[in-house]
Amino acid sequence: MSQTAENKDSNGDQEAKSPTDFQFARYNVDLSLGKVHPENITCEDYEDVFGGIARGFKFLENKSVKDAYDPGASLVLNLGVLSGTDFMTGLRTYFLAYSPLKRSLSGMPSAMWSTGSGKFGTKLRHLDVDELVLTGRCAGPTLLHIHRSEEDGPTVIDFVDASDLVGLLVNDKIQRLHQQYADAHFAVIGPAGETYQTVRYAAVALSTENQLKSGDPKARYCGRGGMGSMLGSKNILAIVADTPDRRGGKQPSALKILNQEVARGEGSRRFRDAKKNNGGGGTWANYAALDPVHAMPEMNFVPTGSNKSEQLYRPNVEKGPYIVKDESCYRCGISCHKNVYDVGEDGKAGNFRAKVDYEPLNLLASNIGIFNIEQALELIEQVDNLGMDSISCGTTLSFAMEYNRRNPESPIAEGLSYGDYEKTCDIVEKIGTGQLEELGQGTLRLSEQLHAESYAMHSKGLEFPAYLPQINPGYPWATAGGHMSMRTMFLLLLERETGLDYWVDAITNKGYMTLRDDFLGACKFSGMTHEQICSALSAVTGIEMKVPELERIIKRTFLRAIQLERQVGMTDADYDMPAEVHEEYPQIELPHFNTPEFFSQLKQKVNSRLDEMIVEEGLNQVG
Amino acid sequence: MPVELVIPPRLSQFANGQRHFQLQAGTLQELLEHLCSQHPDLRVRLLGETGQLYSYFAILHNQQQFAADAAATIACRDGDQLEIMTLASGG
Repeated sequence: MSQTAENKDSNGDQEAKSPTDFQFARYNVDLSLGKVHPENITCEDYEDVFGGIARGFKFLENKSVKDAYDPGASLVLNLGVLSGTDFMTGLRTYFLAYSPLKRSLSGMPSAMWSTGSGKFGTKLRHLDVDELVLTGRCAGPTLLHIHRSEEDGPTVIDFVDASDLVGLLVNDKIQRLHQQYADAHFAVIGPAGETYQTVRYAAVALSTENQLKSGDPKARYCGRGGMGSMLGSKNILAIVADTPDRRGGKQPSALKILNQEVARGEGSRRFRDAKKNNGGGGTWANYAALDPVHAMPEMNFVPTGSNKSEQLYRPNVEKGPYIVKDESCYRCGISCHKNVYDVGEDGKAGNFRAKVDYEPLNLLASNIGIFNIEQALELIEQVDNLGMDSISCGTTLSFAMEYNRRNPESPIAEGLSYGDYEKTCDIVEKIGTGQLEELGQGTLRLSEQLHAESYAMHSKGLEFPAYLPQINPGYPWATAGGHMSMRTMFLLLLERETGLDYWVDAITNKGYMTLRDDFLGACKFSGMTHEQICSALSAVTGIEMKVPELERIIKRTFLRAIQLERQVGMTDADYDMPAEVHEEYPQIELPHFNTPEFFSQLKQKVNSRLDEMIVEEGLNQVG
Repeated sequence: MPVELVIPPRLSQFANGQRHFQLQAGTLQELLEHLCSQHPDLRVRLLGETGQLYSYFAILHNQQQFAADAAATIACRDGDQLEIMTLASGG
């Protein structure tokens, strides 16, 4: 993101900013022809300035895609305005496309995004790249090498043969590239992305400083919606952002204060360890928080009502023989990564085993009937290293297990069953290497084939994350598959409200506010208030924005995502949940309210209100 | 001197927008009962059927962290600082 020359005074100082004072650098990459067309585009509005999904959706709304894997379909890679800046957690890189996984009932691919941290986005910022638009398909396995033609020269993109990377696991790819490009960071796919035809939920992995220094598999993942499959469909195995670090000047004092708040303040506290100003221990703490009231998925999202999952609580794992270390992304003080190591001979951390977040632990352990931490660590690492979304993979596994439990006479996936660790490892390997399309296609398509939709845990083809759908009727309006795009998963637990109007308001006015961090480039774990984010924007970009204006941009971005879904034919019928979600489960120690009748009324009210909001914002005239 | 009790930001809407309270009691459990009698809408959101603090909260007692089930045993002294913290976190 750069400022236009007119906006700088004679001393080069910044003046008050409007969107047209900014330009962004887009590189249009025609993979079929091997040509790159860079352009500097003057921003029309704050969506353009902020980037991420705000700008990306504007791009996608002008595209018509019938097949996500059609070479003519574009894959957008971009940054948020805070990505790669001195704002702590400003590390996000976004991938947007019409998804091979998310789909309307009428069969059309739907707009989707995924994002991750790591240091790749920072390197892109140092290369003055705001956005790549990848269209076409390379003839053979290729890596894109983004670098400067000379020191301080223009940024160029070279097409490099990547045949030597074919088949390598995620970390092996990254470590090999690190040997070759010492100053670079990387976006790569694993074997799953390479076999995109049979794996619709492959992820893109972004390298981290810790990973390059330690050699351990510590990438960050853009998991949801098959963005790794999209990259694979274009025959791109890796993108290399190659430039020495660019040291910024002295941080403004306002930014220093904000960064201290990110690192030590209340907003990020739940994600920090207890030793860091009384943190809550990270997302792993959800085990101890949710399981005692049986509000945590087990056995394909049906809690057992037992204490089987207790052995996966962090304090119990820390009893040994493991050591859990809190580690961080580049220059981030939150240290949300809870990395598990074997105990070394010296009693300190030995071999790295896995980065344990609540999501992969739950969906690759409790939710598939595995309650052994050793097995869980192996599965988490296996799924990561094959380059798959742990949410989609885990939920598809649990669906297959549940199907087999109910249909022992006609099992799928080689008779995979709950708790069968050895068979699960074998099946995961087959999915991730393209040998098991049956499960690689995801829950929606598989359940349709089997006529078993009532317990297929997804909305719009995006598998549910590890929060019970029984207590979250907001899932269908999550535009990117659940908790990260519709913040309604804890409402019942914490606020205990079951009224219809409350839930309509939660979905149409509040839940989507979490999308703010999907265009600004900051991490949701920073926990910044809108006021603090406005201060950060001022400190980093000079943009003076009030909270209501920021909230309106968030709302417009959400509505644009909904409108994009409608453009591909989504109707009331698409905003749905599997029927068994609405049943009563006495073991869940929370009120039962998400009944078929409740949900039917909710759907009608939410969609009517969204209709009005789209018209109010003038977004119905697009596309 | 009373004890200072802080509740999670999200729950302040059920206590007239208030997060910080000055209360007097012998234990944290008594403190919570006292708070919930003053703000009845908080009860169902903090305490289970048997009056225990829900497991998805943690307690900070003078900056030392305790699990929810320690509420009954945490003795309050004048000037103590107590905070109820939500453990459930997405991501």
